[in-house]
Amino acid sequence: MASQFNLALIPERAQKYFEANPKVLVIEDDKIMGQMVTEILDDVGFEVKTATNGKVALELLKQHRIDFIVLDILLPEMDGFEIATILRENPETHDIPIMIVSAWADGNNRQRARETLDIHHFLPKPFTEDELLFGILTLLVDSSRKGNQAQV
Amino acid sequence: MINQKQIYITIEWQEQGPMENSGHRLWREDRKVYTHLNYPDRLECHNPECEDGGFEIGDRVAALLDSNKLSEQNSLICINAMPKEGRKRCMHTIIYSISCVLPFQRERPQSLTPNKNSG
Repeated sequence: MASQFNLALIPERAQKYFEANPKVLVIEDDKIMGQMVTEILDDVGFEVKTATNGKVALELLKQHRIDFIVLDILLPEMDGFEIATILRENPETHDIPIMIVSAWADGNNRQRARETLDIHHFLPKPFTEDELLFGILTLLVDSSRKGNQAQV
Repeated sequence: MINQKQIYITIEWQEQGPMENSGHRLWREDRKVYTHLNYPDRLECHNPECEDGGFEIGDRVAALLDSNKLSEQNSLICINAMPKEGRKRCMHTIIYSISCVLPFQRERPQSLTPNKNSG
């Protein structure tokens, strides 16, 4: 399934989000899924770090400036909701945009993400390459709007 | 005849593939019972465009047997999500549930009902 995603087709005002080479942390325990997401994001110029569990992810966040996070829900030891809660409670990480990517995208999980963690970007598995990239573009545009509103 | 020393492993899974305009199609739903001696390394991928694909469930079963847990739910993407050169990427995904019944628990299997609400 070749990606139809073409940076030139993104509205000009949104292209800057991709051209800025954002740094992304992918937290995913399925190694093949993690590699695939890394490859897709690397191809469009993102700098990608990966973690297969929450402990590694929190350590990476201490060491690197991360622009946004792609987060699975079902993870060993600490699940995605627990990780997101820790991130939201830490002043250093509370405003990092998060997109949840999960096969368990039922209404309860979406509601829990939205209402308790203020996470509004939820991509159900399985997804296409284009859905992943457009999901991330939306996340970056929305978080930029939020940032602008906070500055006003 | 039931072998009292065997661990029985039930794997239930749903295979899904993405569709062009969001959403996904359910390709297959299955449930099989194995033992700790004959569980599969890989479940077959049913995407007709996927060559030699599959879902590496064996590693997940082995990890579960090594842990103190008796059940797990999670998802796996087809190994051809990272295809060999020149092949198409396959985005088929399974959501699965693995439940183990240990010999001493066989009389009370209801205690192993997976908790579908977890995460």
